[in-house]
Amino acid sequence: MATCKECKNFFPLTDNPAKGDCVQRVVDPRQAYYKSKPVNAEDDAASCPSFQKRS
Amino acid sequence: MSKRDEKRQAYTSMLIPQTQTDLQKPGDKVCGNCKNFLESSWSSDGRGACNILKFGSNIHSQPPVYILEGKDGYPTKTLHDASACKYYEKMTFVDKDGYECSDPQYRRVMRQLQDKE
Amino acid sequence: MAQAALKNTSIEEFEKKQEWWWAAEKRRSSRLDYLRKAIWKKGAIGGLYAPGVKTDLEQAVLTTNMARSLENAPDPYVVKSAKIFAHVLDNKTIFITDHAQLVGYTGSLPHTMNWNPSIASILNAEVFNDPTSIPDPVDKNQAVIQDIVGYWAGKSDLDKMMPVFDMEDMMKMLSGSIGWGVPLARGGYSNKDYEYLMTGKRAFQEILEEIDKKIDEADELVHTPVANKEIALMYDKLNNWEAMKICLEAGIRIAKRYARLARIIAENFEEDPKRKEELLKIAAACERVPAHPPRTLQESFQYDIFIQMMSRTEAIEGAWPCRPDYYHGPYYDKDVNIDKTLTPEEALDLVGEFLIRAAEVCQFKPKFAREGLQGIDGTWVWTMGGVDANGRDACNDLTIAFMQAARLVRVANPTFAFRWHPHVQDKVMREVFECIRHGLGYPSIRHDPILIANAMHWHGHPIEEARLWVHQACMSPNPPTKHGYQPMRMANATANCAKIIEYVFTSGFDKIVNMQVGAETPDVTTFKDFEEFFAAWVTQMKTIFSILVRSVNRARVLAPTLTPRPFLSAISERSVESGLDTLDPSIARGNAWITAFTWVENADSLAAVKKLVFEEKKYTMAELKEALDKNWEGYEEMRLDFVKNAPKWGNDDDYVDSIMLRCLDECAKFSKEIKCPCGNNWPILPENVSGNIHYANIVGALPNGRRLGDALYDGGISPGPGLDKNGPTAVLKSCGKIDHITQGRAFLLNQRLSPTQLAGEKGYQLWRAYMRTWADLGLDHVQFNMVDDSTLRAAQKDPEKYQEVIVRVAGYSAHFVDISRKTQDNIIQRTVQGLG
Repeated sequence: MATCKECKNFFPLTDNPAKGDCVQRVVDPRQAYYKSKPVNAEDDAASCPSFQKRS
Repeated sequence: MSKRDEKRQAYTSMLIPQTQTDLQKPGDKVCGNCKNFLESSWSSDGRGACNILKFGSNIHSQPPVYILEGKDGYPTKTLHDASACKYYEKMTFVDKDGYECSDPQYRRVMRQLQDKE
Repeated sequence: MAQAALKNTSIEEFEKKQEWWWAAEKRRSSRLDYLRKAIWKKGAIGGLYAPGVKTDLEQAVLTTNMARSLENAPDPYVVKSAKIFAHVLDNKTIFITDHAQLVGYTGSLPHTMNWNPSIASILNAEVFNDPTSIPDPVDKNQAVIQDIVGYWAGKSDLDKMMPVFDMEDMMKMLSGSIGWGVPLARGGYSNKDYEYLMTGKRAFQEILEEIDKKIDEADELVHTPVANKEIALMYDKLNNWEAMKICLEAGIRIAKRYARLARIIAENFEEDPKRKEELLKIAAACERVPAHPPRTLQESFQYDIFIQMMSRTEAIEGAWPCRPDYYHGPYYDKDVNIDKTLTPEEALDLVGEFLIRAAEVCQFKPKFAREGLQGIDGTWVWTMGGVDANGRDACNDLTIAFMQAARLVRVANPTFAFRWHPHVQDKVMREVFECIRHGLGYPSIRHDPILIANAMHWHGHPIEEARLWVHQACMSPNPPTKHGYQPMRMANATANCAKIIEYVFTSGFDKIVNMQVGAETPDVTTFKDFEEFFAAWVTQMKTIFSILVRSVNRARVLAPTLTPRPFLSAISERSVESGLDTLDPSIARGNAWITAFTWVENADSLAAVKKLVFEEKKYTMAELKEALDKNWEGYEEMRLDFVKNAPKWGNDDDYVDSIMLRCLDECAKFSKEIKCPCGNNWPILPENVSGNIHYANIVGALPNGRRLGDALYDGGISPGPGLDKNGPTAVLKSCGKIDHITQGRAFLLNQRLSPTQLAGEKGYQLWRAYMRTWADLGLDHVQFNMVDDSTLRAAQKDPEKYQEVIVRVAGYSAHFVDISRKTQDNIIQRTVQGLG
């Protein structure tokens, strides 16, 4: 099962690698930005449309 | 019953918030698409009053109670079932897109009542 | 405009044609141009939000989930509220826009509007019912909304308050006929204790240390071998302090999340070295504030944005009281003039972006609020200029920078209100004038000495505090001080005053909402003279004002227990010191007022009745009553008589002006009889926002000649559009007869000026002469539209080409294309005054 920690967009916290941020690039009709949401490393990413396996 | 209790009883139904079941799609005949309903100008959560029936009426009781005399209108809500009401008259919507300001007579800016035609 | 045409036309050519918006686009930096165009317009047009703008479900989901999980938790309510607040900040999506130097937004994404479902279930029903703003996929999200709405039914702030209000008063208020707003602490707008929070002496970490000390002292007290009332009350204070700490700690954490994101972007995504450096500067700023006091202009602005973001997470904030040049000025001076770490151009970029961050803020509002505040989310009226606590000129270089930045970014909101006093330097007045001349519709001008005296007269603020005043919303002064600041102003102390005169004719029955709302005064046809008629007017006035004020008072008294504000308390000295919620009336001085919408209709109507019915006896009262009942249909000649042949306010005509003064005297007297829970007065404040349009279909026919459906006057003490026939000095003279210190809280005056006449140095001198007359006559307020009819008509035809044309609506400005057609026409109808 794919988990968040296997995704390119996942950035673990240095003091607690079990948690991290999912950072993604968005371009909407008016502006471009980076967004971030807190996730757990072991969260199930199987159905996440933004999942990109880290190489 | 004191006048205060009477009013409290009638008004309480206006002030009870909608629960999950209340948010379902309405039937064909609801107060909100009746010509005689005046939507409150205050919000589009659906409260208002009937222009014909007066305070003390109840279209949901068995049989319905129709009071036509008196001052205050019968407080009711847009999505209240009006299928049993003999004074129901379907209206033609005028204000369709909501980009102008409230007209209690014609405004029906609620998703459930949008004219699909 | 086609890119080629924009490129080939010079700034000077655009300015010569008075096409200020194109000139601004060319003049501003590429960063500001990008950020300006990046804004999703959140103001509603008429009643609906613009396409693409969506309700944000994230806070609603986080709030609901956390509330569910805390249901059985052994925490007092205020602590649960704080934990919910913290959960939202810890888990919400955050973002950093390209080219931005400042961060922080109430919603999760730039195009979303924040929704807090714990405040009012009637608002929640509106979210569900709104036809355009549910995000895709609509069916799935509607189910999510349905679940949230169902959970909060019976639990929201309003549901808790409703059973303990007077039911009859609530029904009258919620009918929408006489009032505008809800009596909720978290559904209005709050000033802040800026003297505690933003003078560089402390920030969140220092406040946490103060609270810890208080907790330790209290803990010791409650364990002494005794029991008494002081100890019994101390437990609630301990709970309040605990809740305050939870909020402050969450505030520090979310800032660090932004710092982290900025570093991640810099280290992993961004390739441009200059932008990397900017991102690391953002990270450093967010590590510093709000934990510690700012050191630079960027940190100071960032601190302010975070505080506003958090306040808007805790509550619906319908305004933005602040004094940005005063509190951020020292940092501007340090960075630009002393340390020279910023060039004026770099500082201007920051100032412009600060305006843009404010312009993009939005919380989902009920329809009445959207209609009353068309084109904007709330009235962000930023106070500029004025004096300091010692009475000395407080204008500084940042005052000027704000004026310059406003002309570059051309946002309608925030809007500025400039505190004029006799020692303002000419260079500052010129900058103020340039903003007006560029058609921003702001700054409005406030008479500082008058308003300082007013604040002392009505609410007993000491002079050093009164001098620090900021606009609580559009108009009303409030000192941002320990006991002076007002933590909740509930907009429902806002009276639709045209109903006063309407109810005299209907004995208080409201035909639009089918309810007895006003007093049952005698049948108007039985009045033998004007005095009896006027006495009925006074009775209706007292009845309407009392209904509105009673509910606000009740809400204020209940607020500390039923709807506390732990975050706002945490940044208020009086709460940190006392352990009481900041809404507690016992620790505040009080600063209440009744906003009087649709006010001038009363004087014009009373004058018409007095003249045509009682003095000239041209019509009987029965005839007039019948005509009004029939909405003047079949009575057009009579209606025109009432329009044209009865004196109208704004023409320096003592007949009607004396009636206005008499109405104000009655209100001023009554204002001292009705008290707020702090024991203070309730003066009136005539102004409108776009209530004159919102109420057009709610107010019936009136003796000034209006019909049901006609737009009402544009507010405050402005004459009816087109009814001021004797020029601008006559308008000022009418308005100058009012005592702006003792007859009310403040009085809004809209004036329209000709852009052609006010061109160049001559135009500036003409305007200064006008302003000298204004000041000498003792008026407290004036605001200007300076856009000609042809531009406005062109904008109606071709809105795409006029996106940044701004007009002054009432206590605020809006982009002309963002307001309804009816409001647009109403603004065009306003008389253009020729000066000189």
